[in-house]
Amino acid sequence: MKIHVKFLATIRQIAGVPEIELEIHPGDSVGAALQALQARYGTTFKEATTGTTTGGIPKVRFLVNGRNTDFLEGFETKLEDGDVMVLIPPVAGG
Amino acid sequence: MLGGYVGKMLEVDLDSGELKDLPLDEEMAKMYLGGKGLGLKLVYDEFRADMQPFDPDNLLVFATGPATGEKIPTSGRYHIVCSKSPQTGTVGSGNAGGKWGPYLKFAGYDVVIVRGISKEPVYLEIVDGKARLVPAPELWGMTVYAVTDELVERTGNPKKTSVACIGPGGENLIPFSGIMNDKYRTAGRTGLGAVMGSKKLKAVVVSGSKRVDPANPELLKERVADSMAKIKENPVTGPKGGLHTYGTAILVNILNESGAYPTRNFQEAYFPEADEQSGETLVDKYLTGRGGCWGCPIVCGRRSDVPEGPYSVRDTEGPEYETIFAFGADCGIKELDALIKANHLCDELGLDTISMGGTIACAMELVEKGKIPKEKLHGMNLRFGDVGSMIEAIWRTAYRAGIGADLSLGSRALAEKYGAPEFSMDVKGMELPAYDPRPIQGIGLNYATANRGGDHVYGYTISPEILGLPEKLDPYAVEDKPRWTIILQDLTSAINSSVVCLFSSFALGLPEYAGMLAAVTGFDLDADKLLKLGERVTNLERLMNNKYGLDRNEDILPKRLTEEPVPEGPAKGQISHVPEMIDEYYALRGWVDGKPTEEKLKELEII
Ligand code: SF4
Repeated sequence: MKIHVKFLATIRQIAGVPEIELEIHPGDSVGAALQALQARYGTTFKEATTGTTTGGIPKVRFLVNGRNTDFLEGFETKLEDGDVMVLIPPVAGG
Repeated sequence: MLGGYVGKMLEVDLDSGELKDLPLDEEMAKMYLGGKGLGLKLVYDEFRADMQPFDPDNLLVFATGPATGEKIPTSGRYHIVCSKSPQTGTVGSGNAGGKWGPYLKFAGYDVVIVRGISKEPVYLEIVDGKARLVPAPELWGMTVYAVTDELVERTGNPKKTSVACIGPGGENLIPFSGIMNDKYRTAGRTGLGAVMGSKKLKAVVVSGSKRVDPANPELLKERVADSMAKIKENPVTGPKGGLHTYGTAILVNILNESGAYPTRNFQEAYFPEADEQSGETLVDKYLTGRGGCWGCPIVCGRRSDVPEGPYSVRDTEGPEYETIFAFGADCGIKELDALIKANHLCDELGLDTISMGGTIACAMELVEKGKIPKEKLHGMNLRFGDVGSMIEAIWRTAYRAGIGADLSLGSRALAEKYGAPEFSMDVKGMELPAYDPRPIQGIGLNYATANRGGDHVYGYTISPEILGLPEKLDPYAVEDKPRWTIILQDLTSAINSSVVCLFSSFALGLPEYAGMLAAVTGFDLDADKLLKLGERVTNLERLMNNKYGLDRNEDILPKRLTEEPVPEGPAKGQISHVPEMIDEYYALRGWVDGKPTEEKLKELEII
């Protein structure tokens, strides 16, 4: 099955594209999709999407169909065919 | 005098032409710091419940704070208040960056209080401690960039000079005109430009180089170093951080993907073409450089250039996220070059981009739904997505030309005039900013309760609800949102009274601010005391609004947002729950029906 992945800000720069279709297995979670992306885009991408910054802020947050996965099941959030997953690095505005 | 203050205020009476130096009251400074708090207190001391926006007694107060112009990060800011806003009927209030605030202090004053109405157009010049009013009929009618260049040149000292002025929008008393400084920085909201225009005051020029000593320089150095380290290591505010790299426009895709990017006058909350106007696209296509306010290590400003095409504009600034939303998705327009042009035009004419865009979006819905008859439009195709009409509507508004006369009323009066008040997306007469409150519960409560009307930066709950800073709150949840909204509103009142930039709060908190302010002023301040001071400022502003007759009846969102669920997109089905949260908000505030109780006012030493 396929999900739609969108990259924002610096993560987009590293991936080199704004969005892709990603083939995943039924029952895959956000964590599994992230691993697939890290395998595809290499070490810089992996570095930019793993762990937290010096101040303890997560390097990446995920939206699945508009919902922050922190308020779903986090990395365990299950994905379904056609879902939209967005990767957001720490940014802000006003 | 106290550290961080010049100790002097300039009172300008435009009726008589008299200028007077007043001492800054130390007790007042301790209670209200500066900026917004001090400005409100000065207005309150001469409060009249029957004040009219263009009454000579409507005070216009330009106020720096003890942080302004000190070696504190993001201290290039100042605040402007007026007794009565022509847009909202509340107290008027706006904040701006650039370098005007620091240069007012370097020129020898903490505050400028303007009263009266001049017989002819004038500007006020303050150079190295000497102030004078200069007749300026020849400047009346000039646009912001032109008059700024002219006045900077006249001082002969461009590097040490800054100009705050109005454009044709303020001169023509447009109720959402702003006061512009350093060409591109705007105290944009509540129509402060119109109040200045009513006084026939075209500009305030400040020039000087006398720094103000802090009370405890060594301690300040230490605390500033600590705050600078926090700003630098933060991924949002750091040297290669999100704000510097992408500016505020980075929010376009985030809010759109969250289903909270208001589209076509808030009829929808998802704009499929949003990426074409995103911060990422701005960087790729039009960004030529970055710039910041005085003393700011974050540097979030954009320099942009549209070299060709129908909307070409060379070497300008912006646009910010709010502007992109207002002229973009809210008007159903995707072309980013046109949004840069619209932003440029508003800066030149001195108009608030949020209210201008929101009013055009409202007019577009009125036209599409047959409320504004064709003959009123004189050929304009004022419909969602029509770029040319959007641009045309801006200058028409500034000059009240044709349909511009109706647009210049703002969305509330416009929608009322055409028999469809439900199409105005405003709170207290001020057009709503770029976050649909239906899927973000806290920001809706903040809009409804903000003293100056539809205002996102009154208490920026987007920080925890969308950006996860300083901690994560579920945007859909209502639990605990009243408490958070109050904390953020009072924190912002303290920040605007200091005066530093709200964006520094992505990296700093009350302990850092209180620490630096205590070192500058010598005041006994800590995090709790500073938050209390912020609460005092919020309550004083509320008290004056109450005396103008506002209460819980005005703390409401447009019905569309509380009754019509988001129709499509990621937040489909969501609705704002402000009516369920407001009583808890009042109870936590110590207010009854939107009014602080006598007990609360006494506790805060307001009365
Ligand atoms: S963060 Fe941006 S708006 Fe704030 S002071 Fe710095 S440059 Fe100005």
